[in-house]
Amino acid sequence: MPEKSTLQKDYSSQEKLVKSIQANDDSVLKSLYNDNFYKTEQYILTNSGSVDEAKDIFQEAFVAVWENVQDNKFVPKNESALNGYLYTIAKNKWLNHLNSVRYRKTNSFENHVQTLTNTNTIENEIFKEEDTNKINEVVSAFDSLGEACKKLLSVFYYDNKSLRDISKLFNVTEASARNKKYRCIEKLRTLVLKSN
Amino acid sequence: MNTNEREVFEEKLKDNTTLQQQVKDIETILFGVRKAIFKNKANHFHKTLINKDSEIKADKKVFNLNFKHMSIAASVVLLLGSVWFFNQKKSNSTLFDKYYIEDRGLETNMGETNNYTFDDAMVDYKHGKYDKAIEKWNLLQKNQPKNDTLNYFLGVAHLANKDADKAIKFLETTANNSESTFLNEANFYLGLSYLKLDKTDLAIETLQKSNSERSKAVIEALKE
Repeated sequence: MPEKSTLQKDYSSQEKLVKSIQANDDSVLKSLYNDNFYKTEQYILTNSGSVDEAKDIFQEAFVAVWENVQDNKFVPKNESALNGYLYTIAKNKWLNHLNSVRYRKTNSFENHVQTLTNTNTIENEIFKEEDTNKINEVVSAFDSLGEACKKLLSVFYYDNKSLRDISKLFNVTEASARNKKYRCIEKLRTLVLKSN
Repeated sequence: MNTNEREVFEEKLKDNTTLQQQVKDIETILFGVRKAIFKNKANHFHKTLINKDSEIKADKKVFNLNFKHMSIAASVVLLLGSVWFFNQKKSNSTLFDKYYIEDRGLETNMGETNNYTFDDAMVDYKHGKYDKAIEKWNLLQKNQPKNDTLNYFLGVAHLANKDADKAIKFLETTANNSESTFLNEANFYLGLSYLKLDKTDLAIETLQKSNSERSKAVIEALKE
């Protein structure tokens, strides 16, 4: 029955897309970036923004979408649903920015507030503020780690490589790779504590 | 951790708040690590996006220097050209959908009576009542046929109303006014109107007159 096969196809495409993002598939993520950046940039440029602001806002939105998919808070039905979601988050972030202190005294305030109340729900899906702050502290601390630790933690936790592959990649024993990883995590933890 | 160990651990976790906090801290650290790496990735994606132009130029240089490559390239271009020709209608329409975002309009201040009709139409435009906006702006435009603002908004309203044909006449008037503050935008939307009507050469020619990143992106996409 044609109807059934279409449903099955949609389901498999949805599952594939989510899995690819959760597995940090570079090609899927890159095409998601490429397909949506210029549209968002155009929106921001025609709404009082600059090229640099467009990049910053889009990157924030891109990371927020990734976080939500990783955390199963957003399950896209297909690629276009994901594109729409990314674009809406970027638009919300830009409208939030326009409503920040710099813009509060202008006439446009009321219009923007009206738009925000309709779309704020998506933002609420992202981590609770307290958790987000803690995660962002780790993100800042990670940037201060040495290159060796960054690379090791990256293959462990971003690429999800097996201990065996990692030991081969770094030319060390599995026990040594595990110890090094432990020390890197401890370094990171110390950096986070120092920043508080 | 095997299944049994996991079960024991989960049981222990239920009543032990210190352990729960420790697990949460580890989860936060690990997610933070992944987020930091992903942010760097996103930055890298952006760099590849921007470097695309120079890559295309570099490729063209190699082809110019090597006749063999040129002939291979010519065959490929011919093949792709045929595919492009048959898919042009679809791809132009896809590109239009991808890059078209309606102009957001101007801020309105209904307290000032001088521009009341103009602003009133702008409110209609912003609410998606394009026919009403066009009707009101048309009345004003009859007395000021060369006014760049009126022609620009009549153009973008027609385009928003999915009538690229009508949009062109108005957008052209603004695009021909080199002093207009809407010059870049008029050329951008005029280019998109041509794209919508499958006049690809005219679209490229017009978009080249608009000095915006967005226009450059559409041109590059059209050349791909």
